[in-house]
Amino acid sequence: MLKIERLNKRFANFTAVSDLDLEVQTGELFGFVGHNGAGKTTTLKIIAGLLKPTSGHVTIDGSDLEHGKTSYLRKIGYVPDFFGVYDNLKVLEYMEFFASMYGLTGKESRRRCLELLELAQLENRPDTYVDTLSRGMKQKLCIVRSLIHDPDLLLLDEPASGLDPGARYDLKALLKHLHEEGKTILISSHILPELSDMCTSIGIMRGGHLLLQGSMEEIELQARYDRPLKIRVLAGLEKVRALLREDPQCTEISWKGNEGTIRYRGNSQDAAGLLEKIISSGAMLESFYREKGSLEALFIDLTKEEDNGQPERGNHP
Amino acid sequence: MKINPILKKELRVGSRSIRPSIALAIYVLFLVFVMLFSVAQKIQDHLVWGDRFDFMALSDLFSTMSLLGLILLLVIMPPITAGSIAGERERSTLDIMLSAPVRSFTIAMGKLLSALVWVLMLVSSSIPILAVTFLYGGIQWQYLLVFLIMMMSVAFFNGALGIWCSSLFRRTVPAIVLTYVLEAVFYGLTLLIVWLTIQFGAGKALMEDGAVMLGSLPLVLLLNPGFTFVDAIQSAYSGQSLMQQVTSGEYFLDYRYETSALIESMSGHWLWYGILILFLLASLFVFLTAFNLRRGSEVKEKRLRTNDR
Repeated sequence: MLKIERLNKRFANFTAVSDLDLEVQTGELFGFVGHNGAGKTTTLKIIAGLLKPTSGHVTIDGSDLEHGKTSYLRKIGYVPDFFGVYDNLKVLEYMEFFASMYGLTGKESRRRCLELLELAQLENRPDTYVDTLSRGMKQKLCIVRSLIHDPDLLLLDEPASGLDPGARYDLKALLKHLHEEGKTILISSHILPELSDMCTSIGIMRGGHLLLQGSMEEIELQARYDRPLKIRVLAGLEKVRALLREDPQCTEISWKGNEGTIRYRGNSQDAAGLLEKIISSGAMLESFYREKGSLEALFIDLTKEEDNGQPERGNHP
Repeated sequence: MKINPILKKELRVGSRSIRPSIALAIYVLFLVFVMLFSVAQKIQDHLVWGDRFDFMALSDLFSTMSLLGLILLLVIMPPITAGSIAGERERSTLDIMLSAPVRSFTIAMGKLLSALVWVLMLVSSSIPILAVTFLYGGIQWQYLLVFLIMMMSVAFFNGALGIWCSSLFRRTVPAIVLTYVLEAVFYGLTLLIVWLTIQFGAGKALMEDGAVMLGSLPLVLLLNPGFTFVDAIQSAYSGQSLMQQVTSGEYFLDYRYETSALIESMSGHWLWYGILILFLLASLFVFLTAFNLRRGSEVKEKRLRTNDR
């Protein structure tokens, strides 16, 4: 669907995006994670055709901006991080304005706009002035606005920014619905827990580089991210402690009473083997589980490594 | 025929705002006031033999009011046009527009046409006021047509200038300022250059009972839409354009002038050359606006990234 090859963007004396390679398959919900200034917005703007890359190539299903700008732009629906609305324009008029920008007019335009307003739960507000809507409603309106021409790819830059929890919940539901309908979505966000919840794959950016990309599992594998093991011991605490100390996969062990948190490098089979050893030793456990990988923890871990001068990980698709 | 979507939106949004109505009211009231004052003044100045009035004294009222209409247009247009694109940037609505498969030229023309519609409304509202001059005779309906055509031509130029200035900035105020400055250059500086040349040459001309040497300098007046406007009104009135009077060899504005063969050959059709240059310049501004619309995202991004650092 989306293919970015060796993308570079330089502004005067600094580089915003450097040697970025990225592929997003059809139907994916791809999350862009990174600090402010990592290059996420610049990358999205280049894909949306608002910025010209210094070098590199962006294609969507084989189309690029240089050869067929109109057909390329028709494949994209873009929602920027900061957007305004027009004073003195009503909700339905706002939608119909953008529909006309994509060549939709008349009854077809109205039908499409009303359909999308229903999706955004704004069907009862066609005559409300857009600038009087709440932030959350404006956000949903902007997202459905980007769907008017039924694009193949949605680009959402910080869509949850500035939203209250209720509005964020609604937004998440909308995005999930769109994803289930088969839309390909590329979303950048600072709200990491929500991204990891929704996204089928993630890209972590820093300093204009894409550090890692892939599904959560793939990224954890690439990052050698140690998802902690949590153990609660009912009996035989010393035996369990000894076994854990002997296991080379256990890198860090901390105890709070009879609850242990272990940084564990092994895979699921290794963890099963450890459990078997503990049970065979005669110890009794109340619980033994591996914490689900947290994107936030992974992100902090990765960027902490970068700050400490660790070598960059490769850009593994 | 598909209506430019930007034009449709601008007219809809603008019609719901109170500002155009206020601008229209001020424009009309000002014209009415000046008209009434001028008529009263002329009646007072030209009363002869008690209660008889020389109506010929009112014959120049039409040209005076036309010129006033032009000046008001120069004052009103920059706030309308200079906020067109800079305003979109201020409101952060431009990026969404540019991400749609609409040509930058279409956006620029939509903005310009919406400004011209408002100007047409202003100019149309001044017709009843100008029509008062018909009561006194000496004015024909063709003058009104010339006035309308020239006002819209000048509005096209000024509108294009304003939207180009608007495309250069992220904020409306500097765009408005630059528009006024460039208006001063086109309307004022060009005249000033010619006037200063006349002043420098006048002394010698008077001493030698000769003509003021202008050469091809009057070509700079082709860049002055105001001169073209006045030229058109003058041509309608007297059948002879301003430039024809300059090149006639007769005294005009206290002096005789000597111009190049080029100017003499152009003087008969000066108005058409003026209108052509006016439209060419306006078209250039529109194309430059379209270019800046695309480039603008780069400039904004560069500034934002620089500020981040």
